[in-house]
Amino acid sequence: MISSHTSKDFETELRTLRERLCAMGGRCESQITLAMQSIADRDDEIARKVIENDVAIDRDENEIDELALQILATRQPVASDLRFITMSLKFVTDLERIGDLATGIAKRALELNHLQPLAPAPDLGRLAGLVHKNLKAALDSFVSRDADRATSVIMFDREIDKLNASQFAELIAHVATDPATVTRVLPLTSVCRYLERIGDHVKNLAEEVVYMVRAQDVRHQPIIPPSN
Amino acid sequence: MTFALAALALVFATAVVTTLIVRRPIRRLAVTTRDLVRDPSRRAPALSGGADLRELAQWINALAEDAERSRNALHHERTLLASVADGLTQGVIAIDGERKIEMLNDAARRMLGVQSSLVGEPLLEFVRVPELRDLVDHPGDASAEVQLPNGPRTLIRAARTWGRAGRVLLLEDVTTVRKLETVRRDFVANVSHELRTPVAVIRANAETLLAGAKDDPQIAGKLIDGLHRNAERLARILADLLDLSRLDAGQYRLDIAQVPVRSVTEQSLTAVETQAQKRKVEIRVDIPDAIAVKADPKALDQILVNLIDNGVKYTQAEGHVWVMAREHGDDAVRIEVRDDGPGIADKHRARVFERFYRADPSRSREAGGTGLGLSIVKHLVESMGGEVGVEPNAPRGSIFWLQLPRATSARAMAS
Repeated sequence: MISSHTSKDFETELRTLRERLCAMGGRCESQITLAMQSIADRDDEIARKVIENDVAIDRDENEIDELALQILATRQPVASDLRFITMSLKFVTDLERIGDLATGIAKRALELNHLQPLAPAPDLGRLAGLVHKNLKAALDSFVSRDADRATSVIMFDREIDKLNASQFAELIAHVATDPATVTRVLPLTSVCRYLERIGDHVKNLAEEVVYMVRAQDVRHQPIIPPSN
Repeated sequence: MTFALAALALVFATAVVTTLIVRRPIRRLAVTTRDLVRDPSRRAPALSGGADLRELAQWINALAEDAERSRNALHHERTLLASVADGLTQGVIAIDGERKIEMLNDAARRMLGVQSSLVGEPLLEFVRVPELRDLVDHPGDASAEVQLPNGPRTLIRAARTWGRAGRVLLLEDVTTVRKLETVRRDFVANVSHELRTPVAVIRANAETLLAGAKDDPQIAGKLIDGLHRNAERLARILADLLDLSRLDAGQYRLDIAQVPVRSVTEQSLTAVETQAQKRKVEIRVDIPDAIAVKADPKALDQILVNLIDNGVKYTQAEGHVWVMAREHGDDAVRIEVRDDGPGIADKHRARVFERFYRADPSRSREAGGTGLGLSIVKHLVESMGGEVGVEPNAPRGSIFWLQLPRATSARAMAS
């Protein structure tokens, strides 16, 4: 828990930073949902909306960066506040990349919607569901400052990688049996890859939460599962 | 000297005794007051001290009674407020100046998809909707329509401020309203399109004929054929619309009887045979003789003709349509019309029973439907106490199903 401050303004600035990060996270969650919906419903309008919405995420990145730098310069925070502000600078970069990848999915949707659907249609919804669930858990762990939950998010990324590998193989099998499907399979393999990369950024978010809460850098290290 | 010492000792002893006598009831009063603060239902006892002390005890009791009354009134207000708030279909969230949740009712909890109370939690961190922040920051009344994560489409109004910087937010689920608006908008657009197309052809052909084409027998023949086909189409649409409005008004007369499904299906097939042969679509029927439903035979025939005709129209050439019926539970019969056509996309499936709704407008009009067939099917089935729906067929195509109340079996009827 961030300790209480004598300066009311400083408290308000920290709260604003937290709220803005959460709102940006929420925007990313909804972008992933909409992007996948544009593929499932073959809906160009939704795909275009996702591409348009990315501007707001880019703006969030600039404004949050500026706010964090301003707090650093004017308040010279220490300890947990310093960790929170430095992590927010990384957090925002990962969220912006997630937004870009969701836009990538929407662009592939625009290509796919003008091609015959694959039969049987591959179910990328499950992979997207897992990625979305993990992003939500990472953001929840940030809100509740729960390092154990963040550690679970980091560990869950392996499941996403496994499912991604099997879905990728399934898509390639389509081309093996019918080479004519290659133009339809290629955008879908890109979607698969984008989802897997969103998963990696979610893992980064969780690692940043662990750093913020425990002052412990867990990047590039074996993961110790939560005690309970 | 001795006298002086004795007098001093006497004064000291008197002072000690007097202090003890005065302090005891005060001490008792202090202990009782402490207990009273902890448990307001207790009262200070009658004191044996002086009049002043007795009066003090009385005032303490009066204070305790007052505090208890205020406490009861507060509890009553709180219970009342919670009951009123939880009884509302609108969600209500009150936040303080720090944007921490002070109160949220059952409807708000449902919309946000949370079970816990969330009181004391920072709203904008738990509900990660960017528009919500702007709304809370807005100094006056403001509203925004947002999609809550895993929740409904919601209209949020920041309606009132309370205390120094607190705000009350009202949440209204607008999913159904928006859906109905879309249905109405699409209906108006579709109905005008459906009516305008044949009218435009009739008008253009008539104008061409009047302009002189009537004297050229070859062109006149084609134009008159166009006039006839489009007039027929208009007549079909109007007849269907009339049927629907009668069904809506409850004026469509239904004569419910015990109807053997197989024989009605065979009769319905005669109406679609020509179309099926033309498109080389094979229709297979799998209905046991014994299956019978409680329905109007003419209505059931119309339902089956519409569904089988749809199956034939929308499956590819040389495709298949299956008509089957089975008993469903103890008191219903499920009739299914399956096809192996291209199927219906998820987003259209829920809406195909709407009037004039087209999953693929260009193909449907080419196939010659009025866009009302499935609406009529839905109305007829529901008027006879049944249910109707559509689901995807495996590996492809659609299954249109209906359930009607089961009648005594045809065999039993015959015997």
